Amino acid sequence: MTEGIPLNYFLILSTLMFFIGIYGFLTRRNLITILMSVELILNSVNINFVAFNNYLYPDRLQGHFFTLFIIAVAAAEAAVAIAIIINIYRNFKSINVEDANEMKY
Amino acid sequence: MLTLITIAATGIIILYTTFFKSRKLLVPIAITGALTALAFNISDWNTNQLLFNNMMKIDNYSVAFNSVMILSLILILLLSHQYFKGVDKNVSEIYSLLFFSFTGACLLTSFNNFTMLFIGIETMSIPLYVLAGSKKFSIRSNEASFKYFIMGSFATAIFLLGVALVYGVTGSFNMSEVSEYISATAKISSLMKLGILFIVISIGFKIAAAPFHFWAPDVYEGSPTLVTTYMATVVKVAGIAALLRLLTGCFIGAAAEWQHILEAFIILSFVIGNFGAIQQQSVKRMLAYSSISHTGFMLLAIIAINQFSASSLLYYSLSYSLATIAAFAVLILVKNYKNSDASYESFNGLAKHNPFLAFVMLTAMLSMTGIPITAGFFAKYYVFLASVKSGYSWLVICAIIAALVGVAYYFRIIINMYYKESNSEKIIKDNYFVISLIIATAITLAVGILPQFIIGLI
Amino acid sequence: MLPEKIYSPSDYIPIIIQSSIVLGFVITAMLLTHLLGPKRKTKQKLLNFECGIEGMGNARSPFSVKYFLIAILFVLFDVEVIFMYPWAVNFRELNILGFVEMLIFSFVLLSGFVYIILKRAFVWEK
Repeated sequence: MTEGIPLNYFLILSTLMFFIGIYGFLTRRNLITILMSVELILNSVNINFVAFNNYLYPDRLQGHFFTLFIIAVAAAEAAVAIAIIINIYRNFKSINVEDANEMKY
Repeated sequence: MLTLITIAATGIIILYTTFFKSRKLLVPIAITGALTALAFNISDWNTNQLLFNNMMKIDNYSVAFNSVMILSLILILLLSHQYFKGVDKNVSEIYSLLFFSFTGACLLTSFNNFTMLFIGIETMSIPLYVLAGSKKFSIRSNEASFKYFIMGSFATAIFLLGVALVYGVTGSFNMSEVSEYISATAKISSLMKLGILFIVISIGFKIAAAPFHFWAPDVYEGSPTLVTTYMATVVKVAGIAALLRLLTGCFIGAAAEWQHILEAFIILSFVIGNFGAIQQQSVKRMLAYSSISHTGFMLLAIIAINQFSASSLLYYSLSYSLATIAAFAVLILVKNYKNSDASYESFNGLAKHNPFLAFVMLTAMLSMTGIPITAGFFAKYYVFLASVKSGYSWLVICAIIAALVGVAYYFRIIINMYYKESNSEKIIKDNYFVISLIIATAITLAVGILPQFIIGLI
Repeated sequence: MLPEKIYSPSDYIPIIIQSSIVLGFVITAMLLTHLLGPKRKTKQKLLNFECGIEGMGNARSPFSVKYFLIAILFVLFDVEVIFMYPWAVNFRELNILGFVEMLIFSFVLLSGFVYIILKRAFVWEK
C-alpha cells in the first residue's frame, strides 16, 4: 500500500500539520479555532506514530494502539472543551479569547 | 490495582448519589472510599507487582506517593462539607470528578509504560478542566477553566510529540526497554534528545515549573478554592512523582541531557515564584506563586538523581501538601467570612478571636518557610542534602536565598494575624473542617519532630 | 495481495493532466459567463432566491445549545467504539478473559450513559 513512498514524506506531512496547528493555536482569537488547532496537532502526532510503526517496526502494533488511545482521549477533550466554550459564551456573550481578561498579573 | 479500582468505583457510586437526594451521605461515602483505597494501597507495601502486561508497576515508591496523595484527598474531602454548604445543585458531580481525576493521579505514580503515563496525565487533567470551571456562573472560574484547558491540551500535544520521537528511535513504549536502549547506545541521537526535551517540558507545564508556569496564577486564583487546593497538592505531587519515575526508570542514561533543562526550571522557578509572590496583594495568588517556588525545591530533589532523591521528594511532598491544605483551608474560612477578595488585610487580628485558626495558619506558614520543628525544615534540609551529594552546591545556595526571600511574604500573614488589630469575630466552622485542620497540623508537627519515619521508607 | 510495483513520480503525470483540465475548464467557464453575460442589478435580482417567498432572517442565526450537547454526547460514545476493533480482531486469542474485560468496559461506559439519561440530557423540551 505505501510502497514507494518514503518515511520522510509522512514525517514532513506530520511536521507541517504540527506547525500549522501551532500557528493557528498562537494566532487565532476564536476559541473554537484554537480547539481545532489543538486537534490538528494531535492528529499530526497520530500520523507520526502510525508512520513510525509501519516503517520501522512493522512486526509490532504498539504505535497503532497508541493512536487509538490518542483519538479516544482527544474526543473526550473536545467534548469537555465545547462544554466549557458554551459556558463561556453564556457568561461573556463572546468566544473571543481577548474578552476573557478578567485576571492579569 | 485494588486501589485504583476502589477509587474509580467510588467515583461512579458518588455520581449516582445525585439521584437519591442523599446529600448528607456524600462526604461519608467519599471518605469511606478514600480510606478503603488507602488500606488497599498500604497492603501493597513490599509486594512489587507488575500488572497488565508490564504496563504498570506497583512498588514501594508508588505506594508511598499514593498514600501521601490519598491523605491529601481525605483532608480535602473533609474540608468540602462546609465549602459546598450553600451550593445545592450538582455537588455530587464535583466529588465524582475529584475521584476520577484522582484515578489518573494514581496511574501517574505507578506507570511502567508511556501509554499509561499518557492516560494517567489525561485522566487526571480532563476532569480538572471541568472542576476549575465548576463555579458555573462566575466569570473568573470560567476563564480559569478555559485557560487551564488551553495550556493543558497544548502540553499534552507536546508530550505526545515527544513520545512519538522516543518511539521512533527505540520502537518501544516500555520504560525498561527504552532505558536499555539508551544505555546500550554510545551516542544519544538528536531525535531522542528532542523527545526527552518535549516530554520534560510538557510535565513541567503540568507541575507549573517556571518558564511554563504562566497559567498557574490565573487558574489557581479563578478556580473554586477547594479545587485550587486539590490542584496545588495532589496534582502537583502526582506530576512530580511521575517526573522522577520517568527520569530514573527511563531516561537515567541520558541524565546529562535533561539535567540542564531542570537547572533552568529550578532557577527560573525560584526567581519568578518568589518575586511574583512578593508583589501580590491577594493571599490566594501569593500561594499560587509560592507553589511555583516550591516546585523549584522539589525539582532540586529530582536533579540530584541519587539514592536520596525519592525519599527526600516524598518527604517534601508530604510537608508541602499538608501545609498547603492547611493554608488554603484557613483562607477558605477567612474569605467566606469576610466575603472579601482574600487580601492580606482580611487576616488582620485573626489570632485574637480565632486562636486555633491562627495557630494552624502559623504552622502552615512556618512549614512553608522551613522553620525547625515543622516538617518544612527537614523537607528542605533533605532536599538540599540530596543535591549537594550530587555536586549541585551552587543550586543549593540559590535555593537557600530563595527560602530566605520566602520569609518576606509568609511572615506578612503571620504579622497581620498576630500584631494587627481588627474587629473580627469568631468564625464558625463545622466538625469535619476542624478534624481536617487538626490532622494536617498534627502531622506537620509530628513529622517535623521525627523525620526519620518518613525518610527511611523508600 | 496487490502486485508489488514501485511508483515513480512520473507515473502521476496523467493525474496532473486530468486535474489541470478539470480545473481549467471550470475556471474558463466561470470567467466566460462572468465576462460575456449581461448584468442587470435590480433589487429583485439581488434577492437570495427568486422563488416567490420573501427571504427572512440570517442564515447564521444561532440555534439551540441542546443540539450541540447531544452532538457532543454522540461523539463521546461514538469514539469509544474504537476500542472494540482490536478486541474484535483478537477475539479468539483473548478468549473468555477478553470477553469479560470487554463486558466490564461496556458496563462502565453504560453507567455513564444511564447517568446521562437519568439527568434528562436527551429531553429536548424541559
